[in-house]
Amino acid sequence: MAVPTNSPLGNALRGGRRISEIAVTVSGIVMALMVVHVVADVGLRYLSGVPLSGTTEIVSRYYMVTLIFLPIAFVHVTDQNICASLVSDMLSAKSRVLLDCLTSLLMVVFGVLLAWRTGAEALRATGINEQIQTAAFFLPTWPSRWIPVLAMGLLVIVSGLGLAVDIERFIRHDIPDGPDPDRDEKKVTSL
Amino acid sequence: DNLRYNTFMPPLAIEATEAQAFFDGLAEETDGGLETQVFVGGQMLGGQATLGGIRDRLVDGGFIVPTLNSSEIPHVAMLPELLPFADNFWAAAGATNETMMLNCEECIADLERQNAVWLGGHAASPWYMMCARPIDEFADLSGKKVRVTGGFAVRLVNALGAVPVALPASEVGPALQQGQVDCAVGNLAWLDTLGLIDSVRGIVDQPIGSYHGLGEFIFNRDTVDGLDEANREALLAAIPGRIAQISKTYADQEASARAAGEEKGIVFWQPDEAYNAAMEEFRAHELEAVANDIVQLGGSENAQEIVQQHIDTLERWNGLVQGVEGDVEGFTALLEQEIFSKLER
Amino acid sequence: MGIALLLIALRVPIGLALGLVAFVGIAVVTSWNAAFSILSLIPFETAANWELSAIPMFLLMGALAFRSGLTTSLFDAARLWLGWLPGGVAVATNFACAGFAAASGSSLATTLTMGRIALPEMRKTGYDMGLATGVVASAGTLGSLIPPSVLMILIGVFAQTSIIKLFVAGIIPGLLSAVAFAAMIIVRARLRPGLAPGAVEKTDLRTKLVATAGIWPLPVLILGVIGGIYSGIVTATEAGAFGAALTFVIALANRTLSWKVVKESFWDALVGTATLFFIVLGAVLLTRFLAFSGLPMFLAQLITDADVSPLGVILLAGACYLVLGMFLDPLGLLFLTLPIMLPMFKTVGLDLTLMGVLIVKFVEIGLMSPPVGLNVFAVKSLVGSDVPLTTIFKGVLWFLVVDLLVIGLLIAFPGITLFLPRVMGL
Ligand code: NA
Ligand code: NA
Repeated sequence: MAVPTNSPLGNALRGGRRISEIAVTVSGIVMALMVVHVVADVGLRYLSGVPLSGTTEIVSRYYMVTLIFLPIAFVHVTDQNICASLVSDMLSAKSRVLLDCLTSLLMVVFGVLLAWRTGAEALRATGINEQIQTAAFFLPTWPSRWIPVLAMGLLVIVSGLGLAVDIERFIRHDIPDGPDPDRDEKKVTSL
Repeated sequence: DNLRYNTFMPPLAIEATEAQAFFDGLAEETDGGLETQVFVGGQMLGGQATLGGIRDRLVDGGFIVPTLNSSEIPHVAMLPELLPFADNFWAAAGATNETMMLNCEECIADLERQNAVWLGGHAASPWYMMCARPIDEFADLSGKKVRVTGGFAVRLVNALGAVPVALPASEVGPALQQGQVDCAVGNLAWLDTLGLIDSVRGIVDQPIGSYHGLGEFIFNRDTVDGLDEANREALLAAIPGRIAQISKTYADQEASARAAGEEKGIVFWQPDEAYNAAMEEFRAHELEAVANDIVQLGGSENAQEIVQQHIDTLERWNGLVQGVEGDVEGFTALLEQEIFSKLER
Repeated sequence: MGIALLLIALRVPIGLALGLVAFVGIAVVTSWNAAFSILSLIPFETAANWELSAIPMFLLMGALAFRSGLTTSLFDAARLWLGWLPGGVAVATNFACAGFAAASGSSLATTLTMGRIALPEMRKTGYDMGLATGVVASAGTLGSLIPPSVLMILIGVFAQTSIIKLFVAGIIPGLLSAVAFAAMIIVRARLRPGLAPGAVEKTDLRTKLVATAGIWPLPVLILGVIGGIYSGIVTATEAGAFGAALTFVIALANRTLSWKVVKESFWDALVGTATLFFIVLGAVLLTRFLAFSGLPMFLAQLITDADVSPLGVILLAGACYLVLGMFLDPLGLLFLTLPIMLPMFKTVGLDLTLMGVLIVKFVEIGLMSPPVGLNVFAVKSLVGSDVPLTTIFKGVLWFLVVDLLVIGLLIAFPGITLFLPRVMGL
């Protein structure tokens, strides 16, 4: 979404975007860890006959949950979610801002719902000190329950700010003609 | 009344087909008074989430594997861990329900905290050691990579001098075929259901024990309390018969898998003394190990007593089931006499 | 469902539209409590999955292969060898997709990886963008048919049938589809030269051989991954991470790896994973709504009542997949239908390996069919706004027809699918 340079809201949104970029970077480190961890497990099993214990559990509970949830806020704030622009291509710039508002609003609602529900689940898991038994040790799993809560919290912040910025632009009639410059930027990183 | 029931087992697995048959029969018996929507496979909830779904009353009942929720229900989760003490799976089915419904207060309390109640459970046909190569002597198992899940099974594999490897069930077949693992520990039916018959060439012909404490009929307490009187009676009355039927189906499945294996030329190796000695040695330390697991998971400090009581119950049922193994009506009657008639309704 | 489509048409992200509609739908047909419970349990459970971990890993592998130039050389070599054909670049794209499919477990990743290279090339040579985008979106589906395949892993888990057997069974149908696509492109390009106006390149054998020698990293990668799976070093799920690591090493050896390449590859794979799974989350929630609504039961009843012959079951199942596939993503579709379909297949005595391959074919058509066609959306994300979605869907239509013919062949001659597993003693 377009970020105005001259408003406090715009600055806040830029800050949110920066944080969501950091979240992607963290996910990148986790992804690299995942490659190394799985390959180390395979290598040890093949070479020494003794595999690492707990690989499947750590991969599914920690790495996968991070990779899937943490970059969502960034994907939203850079407008890279997969959507169909069948109708909206035909609309005016002003109506498109309205559609952006609708998307941001729905994203806030969805994010709040998910943050609340996964948060309740995280609290419960923390309360019982949730863990699973792997081949050699008990792996605490309750911390991983907080990953979606964090990710959805971040999503709510950036989509809420995005909504506010879009509303402000709509009210001030601050809508640029022609294509949104940020839209082209997304092609660079898209999928 | 309209109920929703979840089993995460694949649609063709015994737990799923039997649940479907059970609720179909119940609908018929109550003339449509008790209808149940049955979700199988990954349609609704997975194995770990089922208990949460029952707690939230997202579904009214479901099938749970206690090990998957060992943090929520640490005492219930001990039952499957005592597999090495359950040679006879008919006995294990009986002991499962006696422990869960009459003897183990901590287990009942575990489920109560999840707003759930145990209405009936079963035991699977026993585990065997199945290997890609024939086995000639105990030493052959030394250093073999063996697929298992769960802490106790890891201890077991270590006790046999082999190396435990964790893999999802779905990968067992290919992994055996290609040598990521040399052996898998599981029930004989896997020869058919997981396609192991193509890769297994040798089986240790002695049951390691039955995976029991499987919660086929775990229900939300409010649901059960809120049921129409006649419907509740019908539901509870039908359960012992279905448990017996599940046991029979497991027995038949095991027999046909064994026959198919023999026909395919799989060598069923009669274990030697060294093997038996290693198993004895292993069992001797298990009581304490399982009790430690319970404590580690936040369960009662009296864990050893609880574990001992279940082992004794298993023992008792070994005697009780003599003469009714394979006999659905006889086993149903036994379950009713020993457990279900003693419940407060 | 209608509301979901309306929201999607209004440019609401697909995952968001599906998820919200599912949430409200569950609340309406059951209760708000149930809907809240679903949100507590399902998203985490869907994400925390070992088998699905192959997907981000295969995406990373594809991104690394692309960013370090490995796929470009494959495409270049294919173009040199096949460029003389009518529609040569499209045919080359098609076979390059088939080649990359052998290293990629996902259709989407195959489409995105090859599309990045082939689409600019075809645009430059003046190809009709319908054909260009169509071949990428369609041949990308080979990614799931030619092993390794995430879909087959999931089907194998559900059907309790051997995954390796499914993998092997997919090879010939995959190659058959690739050849059929190529034949269709050649015939169309011959009949309407305007579709593919690229100059017929004449290159001498030496140039071709040099170019072919330059593609060594990719065959090494493919052989490494396939060899790793079939020799038993890695499982089908581990193959993703193994492949990503191998690509890293090969690119390092090929001196095409830089910090920038690594950073961009990870960024691509992460954004790809999140966008893909955001839709998966929405679709999985939708399947829960549909399950509550009883639609799957209704369909099962419909099929049982209509016919009991095996062929009838296949055709009706196929019809179901085609209709549902219009709206649902592959994973959602699988989770929704397999619990109903499998017992039915078993009842009428159909071979589950054959059906597994057919289901992959059916599900893949859903990736290409409007209005929700993930492969088409993926291609759309690669081309600018000057190629509307409708053009891509029209371009894909030809491939859809060919796919239906191939499915007809697979149904009529089960041996095509079952021959290879039988020969290999699986
Ligand atoms: Na593939
Ligand atoms: Na579609």
